[in-house]
Amino acid sequence: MPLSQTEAWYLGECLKGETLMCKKLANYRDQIQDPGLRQIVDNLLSTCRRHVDLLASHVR
Amino acid sequence: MSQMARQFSDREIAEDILTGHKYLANYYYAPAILESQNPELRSVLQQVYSDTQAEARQVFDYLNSKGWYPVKPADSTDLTELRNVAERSRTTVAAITQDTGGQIPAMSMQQGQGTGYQGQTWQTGVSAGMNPQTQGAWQTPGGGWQVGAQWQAGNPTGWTGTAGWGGAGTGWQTGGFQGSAWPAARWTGTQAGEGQGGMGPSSVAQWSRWGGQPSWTGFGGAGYTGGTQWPAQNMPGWQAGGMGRSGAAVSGWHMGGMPGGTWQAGRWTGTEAGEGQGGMGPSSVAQWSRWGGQPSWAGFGGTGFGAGTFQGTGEVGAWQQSDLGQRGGQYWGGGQYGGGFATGGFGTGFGQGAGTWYGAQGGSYQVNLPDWARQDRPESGSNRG
Repeated sequence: MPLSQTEAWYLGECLKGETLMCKKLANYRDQIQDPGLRQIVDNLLSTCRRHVDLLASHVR
Repeated sequence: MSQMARQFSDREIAEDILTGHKYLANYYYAPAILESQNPELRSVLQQVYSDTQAEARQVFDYLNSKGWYPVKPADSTDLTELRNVAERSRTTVAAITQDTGGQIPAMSMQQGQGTGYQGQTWQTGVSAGMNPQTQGAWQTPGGGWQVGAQWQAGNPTGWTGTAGWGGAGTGWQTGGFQGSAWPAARWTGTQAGEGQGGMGPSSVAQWSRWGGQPSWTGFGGAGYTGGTQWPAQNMPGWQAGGMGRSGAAVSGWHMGGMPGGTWQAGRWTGTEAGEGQGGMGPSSVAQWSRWGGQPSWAGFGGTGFGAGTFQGTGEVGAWQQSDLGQRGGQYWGGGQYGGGFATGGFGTGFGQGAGTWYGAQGGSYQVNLPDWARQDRPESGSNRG
């Protein structure tokens, strides 16, 4: 099923948002002092990357 | 520049991540899900949305554990107000769905399901707004508008106010008693939509329109199913007292008049516009559409009269008796029979006298509309709800 205009727009926005989040997480990771928080951010970064791949897979 | 180069603290980082996740969830994924038509994409978005929420919770927990995101308990004032809101909501919803198993009465009426009168207590089928004390003109003493009769097949003991009465269901504009005679019932509903039968979406619509004071009255309640004739053997005492014994109260039918205690032929109260159909059903739904949610059906029985709505039966009885007092045996219900609400009013559109439908539709009248029922007569309008 082809994407609607609205779907395409939201998909693009979500990709941008996730990408920005990934950048921020990657940047923050090097600044974090608390190992506990770093672990959380690592997990978030992994998930964020997965999300980008997932969303991007719908862009054909 | 040195300020720009300063690293963020862990707290700032965590707070920003939480903020970012909230933003993603609320402003990206939530609307994207709602707007997505593609099932696969929607599924993916929902998964990502869920992930994002879970991640936000992780960060929140971290902040909270550090004391950076304290959560304050609601104070007692807030909780009190919240409880009030909850109670109002519960009451409102319960009133709408009461005794219907969560279904809208309009769609689920069956014999005996009405809520008009059970035991010796009128159940409120709707809300406080349905209390006769707060009703509109239909309950005006002497106004001639009576609550619908309490029909109860299977209650041969008569109208003694015992359990099982068909309650005055929401929505039946009852037949009028003009003066002391039974001239004819008249449709109390008008183009404004009063008098629709039963409790259903249209009723809800009216609450809104009328600020919670719908004007329906009349039949309904337990015990009557549209299209079912009352078994003669089950006819209660009112029957012998002057109501005749035809018992031909079929859904959508006039009970027929009974001047002199004799039944006249019942007849279909429905009209070309659909007024007077009994009970709540698809036809009613059609009327909602036609009339913008303001049907004026009437007529006896019919699936769906029920959802009784009267409380404060004493008051009901009082005003009802104002007209019904002399009609011994012709009323059933309250004042005379212990229930506190003498009724005997026929459903809207019931031609008590001639069995003629007097319903008005959009300001126009049907043929055979008697003078008294003409809307252009000054007094005729005074009794409408």
